[in-house]
Amino acid sequence: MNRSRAILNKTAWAVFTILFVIVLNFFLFRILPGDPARAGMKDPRLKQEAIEALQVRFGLDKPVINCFDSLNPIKIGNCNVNPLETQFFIYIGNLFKGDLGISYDTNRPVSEMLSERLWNTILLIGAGQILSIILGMVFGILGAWKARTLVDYGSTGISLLFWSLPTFWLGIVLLFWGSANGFPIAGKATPGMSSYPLFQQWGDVLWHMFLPTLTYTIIFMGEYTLIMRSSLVDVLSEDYILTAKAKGVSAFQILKDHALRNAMLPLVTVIAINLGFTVAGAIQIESVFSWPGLGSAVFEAVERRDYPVLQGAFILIAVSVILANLLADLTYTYLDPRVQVE
Amino acid sequence: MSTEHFLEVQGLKKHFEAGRPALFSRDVQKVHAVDGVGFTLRRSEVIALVGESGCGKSTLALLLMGLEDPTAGTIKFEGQDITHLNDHERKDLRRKIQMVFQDPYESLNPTQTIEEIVTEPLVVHGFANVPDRRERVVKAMEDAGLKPAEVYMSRYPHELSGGQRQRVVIAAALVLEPEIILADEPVSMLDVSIRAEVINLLAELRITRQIAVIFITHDLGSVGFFADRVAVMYLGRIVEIGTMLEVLENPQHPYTKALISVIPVPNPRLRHERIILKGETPNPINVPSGCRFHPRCPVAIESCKASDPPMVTLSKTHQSACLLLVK
Repeated sequence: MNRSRAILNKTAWAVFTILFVIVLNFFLFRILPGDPARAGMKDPRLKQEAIEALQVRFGLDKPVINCFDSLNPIKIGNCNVNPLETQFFIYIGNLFKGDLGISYDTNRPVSEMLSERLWNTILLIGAGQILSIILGMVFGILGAWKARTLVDYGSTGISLLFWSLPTFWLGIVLLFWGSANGFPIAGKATPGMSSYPLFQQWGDVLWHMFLPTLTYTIIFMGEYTLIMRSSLVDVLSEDYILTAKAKGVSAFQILKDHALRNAMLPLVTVIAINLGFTVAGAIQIESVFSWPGLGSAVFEAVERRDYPVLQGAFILIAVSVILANLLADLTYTYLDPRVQVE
Repeated sequence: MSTEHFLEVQGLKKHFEAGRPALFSRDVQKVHAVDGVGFTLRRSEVIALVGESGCGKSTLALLLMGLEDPTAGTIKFEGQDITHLNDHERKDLRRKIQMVFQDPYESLNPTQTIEEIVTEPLVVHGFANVPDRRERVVKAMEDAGLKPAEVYMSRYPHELSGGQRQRVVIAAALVLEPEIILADEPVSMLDVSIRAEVINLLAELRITRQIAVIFITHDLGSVGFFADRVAVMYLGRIVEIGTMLEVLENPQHPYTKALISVIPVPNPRLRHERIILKGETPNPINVPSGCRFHPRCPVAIESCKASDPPMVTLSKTHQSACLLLVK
């Protein structure tokens, strides 16, 4: 099968998976114990009219799906509703318009809330990933090239340590260290910075990013170093490396042309999976450093039972995991000609 | 240039350190992979190096290629000592001595196309911009039996069969127009039906291109008909060397006799008694005293345990290391 068809095939599967997640996500939040219709409106002092007004505002007055007012299988509701008027189809329709509903907690549109949080997360994770990939590759290559020397033992040992550190613990340690050394330890910007020139605002954000990015980089750098090293050591012992040596290829060229491209494959997989999950996985770092990202938004939404925000965040996370995997698949077909789609 | 001294190997040794026998032991154990090998190779001569696995054949190949540094001994090529060369000096030599590895499934980079693989040696040795670069690649590929070359150029190794892959390996070795090809068990990973083709290919090359071939194998039967000379290795040493006819028809060393007796004979009426050696190849860390073959030798005498047999000259070309031949 040729390459463009393979790409098309994989993309189609990704789209199908995303559609499935969208449907699953809707029902997941309605099966959960603690009916979303009541979760936010438990206060006994609320008058009936007020509750109804709230239900109308959040669209909870409509049946979940035709015949079912709630997902209680025993209670059959009204079956004479236009399917397009049910919560499910309204949810789907709104989703394609980019409308994720309204937050129970802040009363603001979820899409608006999440998109500003998403950019903060992308900023933090992007910087952390790029740094940890670069450092991980450098130390991994160094370790493999100088395998079984002091350099190798040193870098492998430190990487193993970094990899095993609990994220929140490292975050707290760096937080203490940072606060003692004058680094900003919370938030994204100094309050009142908006009146300063733009480049100073950016500088301020970078300054605030320092500690969370450092934490993130340390945690992931260890993993990447270890994978890069072991994969490269494997490849360097392959016969085609010996063949290249016998051809007279220089050591640097062997590393560049023969070893790295083959050794990159496992790392690409891990990076892609991490990229997908870290949209969610930065929860610990974002919470420790009060970074206003998607992870802390999820954390806050859980605390406040803010179902629309959670629902929106879940879709965002699922889509990013699927897209990251698609990216890994596509990179693979480019890096390794042996990868074929059935 | 004298043809007698094309490639000359003397007393070549390679000992690998194998760690300590016990944690706090002082002495480091050594694997005597190659333990005093000497032979000469003439221009466009085919010499077969035969031995069991673990006898040091492949280490010998790596030593000759300069991919391992010998512990002792000398290698001379066209009269020039090439035992210890730096990378720069070694590079010129690599053009003249090329190697074909055992496993064509492992020795080709899976991410390169066949054209890239065969072109790479030219690029490495500074022929990247010669006008006939493509012709050279095509010629090497077609000489190696990949005809027409265009069909194979843009393919990847995984799209080829084992025999085709081994031809790619050979093409990549040919493209620099070497004078010696070192083939380390080039057919042992291939189907029997393809083995003859690859061996024929190597036999043709020595005629069409005057390439000398060092053919390393564990299978005496497969080299019989195209080698000029046969050297039999046992535990890091050559125990018998002679022309193909001398060694196959008139073997003198008991190890050679045993090897030849187990070559399968298709005609059941011509079958003879096989000499099955007892035990396994001894551990090359603790080489037996005296003659290193004596623990398995069917005709060993008491003095074999004590004295290491010298090479006995049986004819101008035939030599064998056995005490029973010393008169």
